[in-house]
Formats: sequence, structure tokens, C-alpha cells
Amino acid sequence: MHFSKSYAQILLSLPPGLRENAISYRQLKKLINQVVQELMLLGFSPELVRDLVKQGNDALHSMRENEKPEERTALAIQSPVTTNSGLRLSYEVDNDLGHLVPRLRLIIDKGANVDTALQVPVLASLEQSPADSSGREYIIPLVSDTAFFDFLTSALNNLSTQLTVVHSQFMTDLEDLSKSISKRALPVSQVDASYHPFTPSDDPGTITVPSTRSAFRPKLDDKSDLYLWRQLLSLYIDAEVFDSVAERNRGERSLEDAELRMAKFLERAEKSGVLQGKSKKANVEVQRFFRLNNMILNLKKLNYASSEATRKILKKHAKRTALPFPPSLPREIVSAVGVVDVEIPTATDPPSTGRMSHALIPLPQHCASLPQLLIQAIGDTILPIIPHVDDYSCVICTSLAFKPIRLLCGHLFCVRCLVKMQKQGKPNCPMCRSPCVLTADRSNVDWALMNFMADWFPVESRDKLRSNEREANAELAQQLGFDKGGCLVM
Amino acid sequence: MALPKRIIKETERLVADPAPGIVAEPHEDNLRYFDVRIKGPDGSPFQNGTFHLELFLPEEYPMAPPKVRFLTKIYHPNIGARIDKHTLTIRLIYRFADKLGRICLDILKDKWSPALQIRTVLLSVQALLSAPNPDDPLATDVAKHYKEDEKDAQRVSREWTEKYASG
Amino acid sequence: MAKVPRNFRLLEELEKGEKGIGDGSCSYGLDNSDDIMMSHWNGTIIGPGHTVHENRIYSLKIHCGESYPDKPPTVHFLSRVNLPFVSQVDGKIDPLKLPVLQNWNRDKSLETILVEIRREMANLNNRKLAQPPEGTTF
Repeated sequence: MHFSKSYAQILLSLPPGLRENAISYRQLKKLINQVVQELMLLGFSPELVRDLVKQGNDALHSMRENEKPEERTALAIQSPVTTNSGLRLSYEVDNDLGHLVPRLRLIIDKGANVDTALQVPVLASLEQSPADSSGREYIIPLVSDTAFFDFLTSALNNLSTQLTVVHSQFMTDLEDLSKSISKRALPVSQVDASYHPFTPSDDPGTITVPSTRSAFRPKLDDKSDLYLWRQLLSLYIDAEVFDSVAERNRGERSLEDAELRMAKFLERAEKSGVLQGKSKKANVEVQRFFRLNNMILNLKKLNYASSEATRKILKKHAKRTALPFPPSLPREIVSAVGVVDVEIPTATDPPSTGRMSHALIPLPQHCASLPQLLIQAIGDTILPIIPHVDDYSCVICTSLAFKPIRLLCGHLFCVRCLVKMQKQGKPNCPMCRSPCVLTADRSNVDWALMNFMADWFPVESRDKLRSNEREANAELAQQLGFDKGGCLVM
Repeated sequence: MALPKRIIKETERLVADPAPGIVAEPHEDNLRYFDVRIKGPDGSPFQNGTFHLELFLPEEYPMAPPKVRFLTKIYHPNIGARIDKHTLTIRLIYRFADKLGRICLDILKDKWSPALQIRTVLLSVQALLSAPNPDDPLATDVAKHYKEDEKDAQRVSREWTEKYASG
Repeated sequence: MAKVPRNFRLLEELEKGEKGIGDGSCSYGLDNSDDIMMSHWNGTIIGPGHTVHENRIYSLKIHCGESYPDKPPTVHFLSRVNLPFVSQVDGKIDPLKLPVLQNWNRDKSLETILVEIRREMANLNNRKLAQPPEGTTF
């Protein structure tokens, strides 16, 4: 498929606010036609330019060595072309505070072959005779080419401005959603009047998660979206839509990959039921969450499409005009702006610079990094609202570390795993090997954390407590020798 | 008896996000029993080899360490069993000494911690392939060889890798 | 309970056998110490006292197949012996005639087989059976 067609298709899939601000590839193509026409009028047909380029290749390297340092300071990009006829041609793009002014520079050396020089119409019409033995230099402005660069830079600038708006709009939406989730995803203590925190005067051995709380889940779900968001966000984290945390392919995902994963995430969320049967308010919030993520996906698309369009149009420019693309700018400028990597096969490319970075045409910084910024923002704003069970789990059994025991060394385990270690006489902390396992007792219960867990993880706390009891009973039965008879009622 | 949650979680991650150069898959009929392949680390005498191991999580896991064994013959000072007392020359000794693929690794014995996992154990085994440690050997004869003539021992390791671990 | 797979089960048995089992009247080990699949074993039984077997040393070979310990191993006497469950042709033990093999389950082991065979030797019916000359083999 032609790029202009696939570009149009990508743009069509974007919301109007983004689509309308994309670079107009068609317009740029038309402008290239005008550049070609202008060059023709001047006498520089692509064939002639290509020819000059070819002949001039040998002279190129010695030319470079003679370059004077002050010529570089104007940010002028030179691609000098000389021929053995004594005619030197260079294509320069002057960067005047972001305003790109392209022009041709013709230098006619002393004793140049006048006949060859006169074949170029623009020279024939120049006032000074090229036969002048002192050698001359002419600067030929390129009006259409200036229009081309003007259009391209202003399109990119416009895109950048638009993205700044999109960014701040996104952040406002995100903040708003975050506040609204915080108001609805409440812990037990906020919705259950009978909630009492545990205190250190309680006997940790008899701690239970009260039966009111055991039948609590439906009640909790009435008044709080805690578990709805816990489930949705857990699916979201597992989906790794935009970034991979896997060891083999850590980092940002490709556009196609992210789209596939977004679709899968939606499918899983639908299956899990978190999208239906909730209050209207909850539904609206969930939809907003999806919308924000889709926005990121769209920005990734726009990012991809814009950099492709810029790369392709510059390639087309080089191909149609045969003007050798300016070699890259000094490194510090290249790294200071977002850069489109352009690969332009021109004969003037010295062998060492097969791939050139065109800092002259910077893609706005925003376009490249905005999706990552927004992904980060979701991670920083929405995810912390709902405590995640992995952050409060026992490293040994991987369940919620309930009841939580804090060893002297500061490491946390569930009481069940700690008791097992003590029974086996294992003295060292599994994390740091400091010898503080055997001395741990009820004074090591972390009460504040226990209350936090019962408050934010009522379901997990209760499940863990039950499974602790089951396991302890089974162990006791085994010690008493009941396990094989199968006569134990559990 | 149901598989503990921890083992389920570890297995899911091993399969979904394998460590580079390590494949571990549970047997269908015994989810505590894993089939393991480890690629010989580049730059070691085991480079280009694929080593087959088996791993088993005993009932007490993670309070007790997993059991791990090489199924591929490997010439490595930390892997192997007893010396055959009747074989006299060094050459013969290593042919007969490196036997049952048992691994000498402190974290599989007294340095085990329940905070370690299948993944960390296999990474340690992989690391052992990069840096043989002849001071802590099961296959004492190979260790002796490594201490006395490391170059020659590495040569034998390479030979064995090519012979047994290239399939 | 976790089901210990064949190889790790045999490693356990090997380590136990290396340490020495019981009073030393039975012992076993790998035939070939680099048999990575641990299939071929040898066993030794010292004949029980106050029987015709007293002071005799019997050698056996044991083969643990792929399904061990779900299926019992096959056991042969290498030393000639006259017992009702031992073939007089090749020394093979008929699993249908030896209870420990007939009622095999995972809890049994190479050790239990040898101990049970020795117990059979001391059995009232077998303790006085005429035996081939000492030191002969199948």
C-alpha cells in the first residue's frame, strides 16, 4: 500500500482533535513538486544534480578538509558538490531560529570550464561573466523549497502545541478520575459502623476477622468500589498493555503489540464482570479509565504516523530533487531535540554516514515521549489508590501476610510461616539471614499493619486466617498420627 | 492435595516470563516435578551446550529446598558424586567420578532460604556454569583437575559439552 | 502428599543405602556408579541365622524400570538358592509368589524387598530347604 494511503487510514482511526492536527502529507507532496519545478527552471534538473554529485564525489573529501571553521557556526548544513570542471555546488539549509532557509551555493573556481558552467541556464543569465579568472561565488535562493520547509516545520510546531493541550487535558481528567475513585473505593472502616481496629492489648492468638466481616463482601460491595477497582487494576497490571516487565523484552511495546494487549485487557475485564452490574457511577468511572488508556494508544499511533510521514517526505524530497541531504548536525544539537532518523540513499553520502540524523527537522519532543509520560501518570495517580496485595504479601507463602509478624531485622512474614520456621528450628531471617526468627513472639505482631490489612483487605485477611487454621489443624493431626486414617473432619 | 498457591504462582511466572537461557516446565502428571533446560553461558567451557536437568519440589517446599539434578553428563567440579576408590589414574577417575548429576550448591543445602525460588535456584546453577568453584566440590577429582590444570580441565569440559550437551 | 518422582526417589534410596541400612544383613547399591538413570542395582543378603542359609552371602540384581516406584522392580538371584519363589532356571523371583512384590505400593522400597526376602528365608517352610552348594551362581 502507498504510504499516503496507509497514513490517511491511521489518521482516520484517530479522534478528530488529534487527526486535524496531523501533518498534511499530501500538501507536502505537492510542495515537493513545486520544488522540482523551481529547480528545473533554474536549470538544475534532477539528472544534472545527480550527475554533478557523481562527478564531485572524489573532490568531496579534500573539500571538507579545507572548510573554514567559521562556516560551521551559522548552523548551515553544507553538501558541497564539485566537478572536475571547476564548478562546485552545495545545498545549504540555514537554520535561522527555527526558520529553515534552503539555498544553493555555486562556486566557480579559477580557470573553470566555462562551457560546462554555461550549460546551467541560471549561470548564463547571471550578470558577471563566469569567465572571470578570479573565480566567483553565487547564492541562489530556493523559494519553493523554503515554502516546503516552512510548511513542514510549522506543521510540526502546530502538532507540538496541540499535544501540549492534550497533555494538560489528560492530566486534568486523570486527577479528576483519581479523586472520584478515591471517594468510592473505600476501606471497611469507612463504610462499616461496627468496625473496630485491633489493639495491642488483644491476644494475637485469638484474633479473628469478625463474622460481620465474613458476610461483609456483599455489604462492602454495596457501599464501596474497593474490590471492583482492585480487580480491574490487577487485570490492568497483568495485561502490561504499554510496557513489558518481562526479562526477555523489557520496555516499551510496539504499537501493534499495545493494541492487541489493550483489546485483550478489555476482553478479560468484560469476562470478569467488573464492567457490569455495578452502580452507574462506577460504570462511568471505569469507562473513563478505558478512555484515558485509549487516548494513550491513539497518541502512540499519531506519534508513529507523524514520524513515519516526516521520514518518508524527507526521503521523497531527496529522491525527487536529487539534492543531497545535508549531513548531520553536531552531536549536541542532535541530542537536544527529538530527532527523526532518516535514511536517505544519496551518492554523496560518504561511506561512514549511511544513516543520518536530521536534527534540522526535529519532531517535537512531545510527540515522542508523551505516551510514556501519560502511562507513567496513570501508574503514579490511579494505581496507588488501591493497595495491591502483592505489596503486603508474605514472601514465603505469597499470600497476604496475615497476621503480620515483623522480625527484629524489619522483615515481614505471616505468622503461619514464622511458626513453621520456628518449629523447624531455623534461626535466620529468610531475607537477610540475621538470627532473629527464634526470638520472635507476640510482641512482634505489627498491629498497625494488621489493622491496615483488615481494613483494606478484609476478604484476603479472612481467607488467609482460615487457611492458616486449616493448615495448623492438618499439621496437628499429622503429629497425632491421624492423617493416614482419613478420619479427621476438617 | 491441592498445590500450594506459591508453587502455582512460581510456575506461572516461570512459563510466562522465563529467565534468559532457562526453560522450566512442570510435568503434566506431577506439577511439583519440572523438566529443565539450561543453556551453557557464553564464554564458559559449557558454551553452545544445552543441559537437561530435573527439579522436584518436596512436600516441605519452600521450607525445604528443591531437589535438582543434571541429567546431561557434565564435566564440572561442582557436579558429580563420589570417587571410585578403585580407579587410579586421574584420567580414569574423571571418567567414572562425575556420575549422577547431583549439584553441590550451598543454597540447595544448609544455605537454603524459603525466600529463594525455583527461578533463583536455576539462575544460581546457570551462574555456577559460568564460574566453576573447585573449592566446594562433590566431584573431587574434577575439582583437583580444575585446580591443578585449569586449561586442561576446561578443555575436557568443552569436549564433554560437545559430546553430551549438543543434542 | 507430594509424589516423589522416580529419579529423586531412587537418589534417596541410594543415599540411604550408602549410609547402610538396618543391622547390615542386607545392603544394596548401584551396579554402575555412572548409571544416570539408576536402573541397575545389586543387592546382598546375609543368610539369617539358625537356618540353612546361615553364613551364606547371597547376591542379587535388581532392575528398576521407568515406572518405579509405581511398579515393583524385577529381582534376580545371582547366587544359586532354593526358594519357592525363585526360578531354578535363571534365579528370577516370581512377583506373584513373593508377597512384597505382589502387594507392591509406593511405600515399599529396595530395602523392604531385601528385608522381606531375608524374612522369607527364615520362614518355617523355607528355613530347612535343601540348598545348592555355597558359592554357585545362576
